Amino acid sequence: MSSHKSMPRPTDPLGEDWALVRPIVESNPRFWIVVAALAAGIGLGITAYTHQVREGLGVTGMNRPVYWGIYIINFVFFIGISHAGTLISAILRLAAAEWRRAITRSAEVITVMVIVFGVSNVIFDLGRPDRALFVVQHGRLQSPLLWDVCSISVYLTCSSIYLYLPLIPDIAILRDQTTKLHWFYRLLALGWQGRPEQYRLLERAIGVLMVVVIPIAVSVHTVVSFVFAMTVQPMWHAAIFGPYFVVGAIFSGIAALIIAMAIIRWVYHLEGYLKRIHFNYLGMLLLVMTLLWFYFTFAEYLTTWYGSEPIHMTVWWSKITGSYAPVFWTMFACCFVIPFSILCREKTRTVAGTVIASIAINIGMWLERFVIVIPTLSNPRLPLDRGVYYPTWVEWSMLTGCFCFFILLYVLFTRFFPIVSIWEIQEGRMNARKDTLERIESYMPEVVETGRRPLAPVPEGVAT
Amino acid sequence: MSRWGMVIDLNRCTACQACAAACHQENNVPPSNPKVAGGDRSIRWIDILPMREDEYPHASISLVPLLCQHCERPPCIKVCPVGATFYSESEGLVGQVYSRCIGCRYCTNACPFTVRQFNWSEPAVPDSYLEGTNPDVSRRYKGVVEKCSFCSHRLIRARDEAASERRKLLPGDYIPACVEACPTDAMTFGDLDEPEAEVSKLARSKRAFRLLEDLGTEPKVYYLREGGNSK
Amino acid sequence: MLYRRQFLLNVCKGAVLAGMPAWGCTPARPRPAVLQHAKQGWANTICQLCPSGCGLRVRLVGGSPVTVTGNPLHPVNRGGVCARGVASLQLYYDPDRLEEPLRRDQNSALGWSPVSWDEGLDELVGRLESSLVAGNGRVAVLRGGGQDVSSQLLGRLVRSMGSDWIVDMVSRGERAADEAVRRMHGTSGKLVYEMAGADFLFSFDSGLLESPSRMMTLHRAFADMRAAGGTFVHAGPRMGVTGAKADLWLPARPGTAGVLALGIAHMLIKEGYEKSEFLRDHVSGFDDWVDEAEIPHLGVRSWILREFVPERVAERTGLEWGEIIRVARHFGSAHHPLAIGPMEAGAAVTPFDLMAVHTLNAIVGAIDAPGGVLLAQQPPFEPLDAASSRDAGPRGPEERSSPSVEEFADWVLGAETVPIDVVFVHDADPVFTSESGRRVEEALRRIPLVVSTSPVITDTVQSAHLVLPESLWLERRCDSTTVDRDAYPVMSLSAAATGRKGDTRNVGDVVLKIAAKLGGAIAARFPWASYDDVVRERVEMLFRAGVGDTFSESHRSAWTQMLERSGWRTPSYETAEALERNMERDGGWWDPVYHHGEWRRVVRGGASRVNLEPLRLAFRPRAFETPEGPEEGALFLYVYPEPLLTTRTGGSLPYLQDLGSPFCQKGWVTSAELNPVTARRLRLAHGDHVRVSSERGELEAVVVSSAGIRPDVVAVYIGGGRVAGGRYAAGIGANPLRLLAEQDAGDAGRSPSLPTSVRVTVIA
Repeated sequence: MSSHKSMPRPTDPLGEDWALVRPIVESNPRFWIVVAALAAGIGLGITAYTHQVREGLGVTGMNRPVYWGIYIINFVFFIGISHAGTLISAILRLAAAEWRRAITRSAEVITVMVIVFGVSNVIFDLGRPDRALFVVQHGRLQSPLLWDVCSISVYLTCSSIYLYLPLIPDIAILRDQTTKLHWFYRLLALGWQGRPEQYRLLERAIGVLMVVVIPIAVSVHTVVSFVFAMTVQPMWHAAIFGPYFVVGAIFSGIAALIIAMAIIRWVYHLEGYLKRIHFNYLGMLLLVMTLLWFYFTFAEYLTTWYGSEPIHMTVWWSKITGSYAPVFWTMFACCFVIPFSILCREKTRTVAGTVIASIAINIGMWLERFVIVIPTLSNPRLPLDRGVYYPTWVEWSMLTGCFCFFILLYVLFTRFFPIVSIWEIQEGRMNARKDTLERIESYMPEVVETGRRPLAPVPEGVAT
Repeated sequence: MSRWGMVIDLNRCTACQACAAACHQENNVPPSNPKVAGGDRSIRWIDILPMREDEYPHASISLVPLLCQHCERPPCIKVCPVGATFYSESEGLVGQVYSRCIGCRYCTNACPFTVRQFNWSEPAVPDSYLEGTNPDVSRRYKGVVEKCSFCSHRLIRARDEAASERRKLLPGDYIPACVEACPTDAMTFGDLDEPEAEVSKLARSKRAFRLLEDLGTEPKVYYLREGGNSK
Repeated sequence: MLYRRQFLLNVCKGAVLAGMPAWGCTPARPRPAVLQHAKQGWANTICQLCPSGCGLRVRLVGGSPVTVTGNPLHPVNRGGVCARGVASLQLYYDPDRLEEPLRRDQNSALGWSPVSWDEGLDELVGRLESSLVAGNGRVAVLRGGGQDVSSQLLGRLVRSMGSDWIVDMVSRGERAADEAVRRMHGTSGKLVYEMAGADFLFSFDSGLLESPSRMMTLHRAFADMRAAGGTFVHAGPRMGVTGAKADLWLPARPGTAGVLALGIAHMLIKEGYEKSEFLRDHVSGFDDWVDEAEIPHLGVRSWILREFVPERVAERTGLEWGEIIRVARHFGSAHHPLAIGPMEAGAAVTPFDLMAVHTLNAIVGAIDAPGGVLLAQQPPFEPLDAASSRDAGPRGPEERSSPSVEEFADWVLGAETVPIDVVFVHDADPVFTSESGRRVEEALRRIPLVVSTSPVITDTVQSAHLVLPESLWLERRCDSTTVDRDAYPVMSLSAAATGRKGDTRNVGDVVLKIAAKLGGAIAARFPWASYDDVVRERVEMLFRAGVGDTFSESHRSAWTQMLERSGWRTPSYETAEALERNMERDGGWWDPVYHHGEWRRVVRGGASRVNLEPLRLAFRPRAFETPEGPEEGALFLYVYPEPLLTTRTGGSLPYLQDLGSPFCQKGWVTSAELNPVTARRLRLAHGDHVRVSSERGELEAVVVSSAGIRPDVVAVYIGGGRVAGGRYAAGIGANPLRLLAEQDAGDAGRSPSLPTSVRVTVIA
């Protein structure tokens, strides 16, 4: 695509990067069709929730002893997805991976949007949603749920800032280059003029945030796992749950990111920005996570099986051969067999290949949460023979509603803000080559002083 | 300071379920219906738990009345995010505050005995039943968790009565509805801190055991093993 | 309006504060104002849901009954109460309760139209008068087993109109026991097992802890026996609560109680465990004997030794003979062994079984002995409906103590012209509880006037023409005559505990009114102005009898007992009026003394010896034949009562519907209990919905997989499948009685009934 010779002049900061602004300024009838479809889905969700509020949680499939169902599964799932963004983007930034530039924004947006749905699923699960704020008013720090509340709210705040800060220069571009909603962009641009000290300040803030956000992100999913691990229930009460959940979260997060990128690339014709190489690299990352996930799953199930405590084995067998076996083995296929066989070969690590793997992983990871939450609950320690969990239309509708709402918010974001960071791309064009070369040089053994440049020109798109 | 506890003699218990009916009536537990029961959502403060062992023809089944164990280290209380369930140090009772409960059901899942109940829907009580509501116990509404309280309203009443008569609480002043109803006198209730109380003596007996004792939640409901000589 | 405002308020609150919509939940319905700060009190009453006649204490708040517990002074329940007694408040508050007389009306949408009491009674009396013109004995009564003044007055009315068709709805087991006593003792006494004194209790498919009638008496005695360290063995195809509470469960084939009892008897005789002294003094027909004509007769002893060899018994019962021998030795060497025969269960009970068990008790000397089987003592007055010589000639079953509802149905359906004009149904729901419910219904439909006193629409009421709803026991002065677990006679009495709901009446008063309207000879048989007069007369009889005392705490009762045994009395009353007052205050009167060894009372005729001879006469070699099958894929159906649901109104009490069976944990549904092996073979899992079908019908049930049942049996409890009974009873569960093979009612004494074989298939 772009040739380095035609670098944009400062007076014309966009140039061929106009493609990134096009979704914002040009309207498209397809957009409205999508919005209408999503709105229908959201409407379904709202109808379901209204029904649930009126009739009580009895309209769900939950019962005694399966006191938690899809809502809590969604909560864990969405919070897991949220690790796509901030954590991945922070790690890539921290590692100064140059190929990150085109993907960080879309990842960060996922994070912020999806956390909201994670939290709202907990609210959906409340018997008394009108008392939700009791958690703040009367919160007891002894409860792991409070840890979640603290951790997630900090994460949401940091992620929002972390999304917003790198957005400021792009907002300024929109303010200056487009006529749409001028007041809105002026307000949000916070008087950004692109002065060097402003850039310095921005870089510094991002630098601090990306360090801070990593432990927070890790804590979030650890704490989510603690909701289960802190009880004494069979196959919940496990020390492995913290890291297992974090790995699972990053796993599903990357997968979600790949899907989002593929859609953006396809819808907005950004093949030039989100390239095959991005998918290839993310695919490799995903492969690592697939193996890690397998390792943790194996460790968890082997430990339980080897110990063979009867109460744990009841749950274990219900997953392996019992009534939850279909779910368990589908999960295993989706989380390991399918992604591993696709991602382990360079040849299949294409855009289509990684997307298929990612879809499988996201389905698999949702099922994994199902397999964690439900079998333990339906096999309580004392032999109560009650409770088979089948989600009802209300729960499925709410799940649909959540997904539609999430996609709608995401679509709306892309209609108001550039989904690929313009200034970072431009910065990359201007500085990356130099910075990278300097950095690579700094890796090199200094004893060789021949004066000869050891490197061939760096091929485009190669990460360091 | 008291530590109210219960002993259930499985030799005397005949699984007649009178305790459950008496409990539900005393505590305004709403009657269920086929829909509620079909969804496994009947509220039962006491259940009879059939614990099956061995295979035919040498099968044995223990029918164990299961109610809130009023653990001394209750796992349910730790996890409540809003303090809707509490442990009364002075009485040794695990209580539930319906007006505080947000209905997250974390406690129901943390309880290893699965004795906490949730109001999945607004209780379907015919109007004609309302006249028979026990005024000592508040009625619950949809969306909150409830469970056996050891009839703590009876304790309050008994303490009031004792105070008005300027005397101490005597054994037998405070008895939960299930114990009162039990036709075979299988249930004994009292203060486990009183070493001479009948309940303490029975709890010390060789036949005494507690459910899921190894979890260390220190239940205050003891059971006396079936079979053998009772004494 | 409040709802909407609250709703909106909460919407705003939630939306503003949480930043997301959080619609409010509906507030709890406020308690009716009357209960706040209302006056509280306690009142005594007598439970009439079963013949136990437990004393209840009702807590009243502002005059409304709120909770129920036991009367601690009442000797039957001593402060305890069963689940049904507790839940009976739900009958009081039943939204579907009948609160005024109803007459069948085809034009009305509901099929009923309300009538005034006067209209209703006039119609009834008119019909009775024309019946008397048509001839004597054209009336009948079908009643529950309760012995109270009202139902006895109803019986007296029927008798005074020249009919002996007083049908008491007692279980097949109880009927078989009565028959056994009638044949072996020559009396009409009721068997009472003094369990508390036994140290080895052997249950022959007794269903002891599943018996719906006298639950309190049986459970309390059983618990005392267990607490005292008594051993308990239960034999029967299904473990049930009884077997679960036993030290040993012997999974015997259905219908083999009698054979097993005699197998045990065989071992006892063979190994010399028999109580020869007892057998010599109090039993006849045991040893071989020679009659006047010098013809030798085979005694029961030789007969048992010859026929009931362990191998044969083992084969028939499906048990291991080694086990039978082992248990028999334990039983024989106990100090106070006691055998209990079938009380309720299923269609498989015959008088032969009961006689066999009774014979076993005779062999171990447990008849009329401490810790043995006693014959209930009668209170010092005759029942009001006793047949007297003044009654017109008998028109009804001869010789038998009391006709069964099945016989009644056969009689009505068998006659060419309807032999009867009016039938009263009181405290009973025979269409639902009888094994021949359909026939009973058919019979009732033939009768011109069926009068019911039921407080709710039951299955039987659906065939009635006139409903004169009785007041519940809570709402009226009531009484009950019964026996407690030690066979002491008890008469309970209580004032009305609470106000009447609706326009209902005491059946006793209604009968007196009918009699007065009929006038003449019939009115003369009812020389009382009101129910209260009848009660007063009975209390006076108690007073004149000069025995017993009003209820008191157990230690005081023990004192009374001790004094009375040594011929002293210090009654708590000095006049009959004081006795009546005290009875109402404390709950009633009883005579807590049983004189063991009153052989003249216990056995009538035959030199006061228990006659074992009828056992042999009742035996048919068919008893040894293992019934064919069940053929490939089929199972034997074993029905047993679920005590909480089998009472006449059990269905309309939602607490009981929800508790259901302790084995199932799931209320509101009938369960089909299967052995896991059988379930696997039929590819069924715990909780599956299945169809159980026999030649006569089918039902739907939920599978309960339990190792406590024989693999060739499926057990379904009685208690579901009512057609009527209000919102909490109609259409709930299923009734297995409708599946049973046709029983031979007339020959119930002899032939062992055929087990019903059924198929169980999953409902997709």
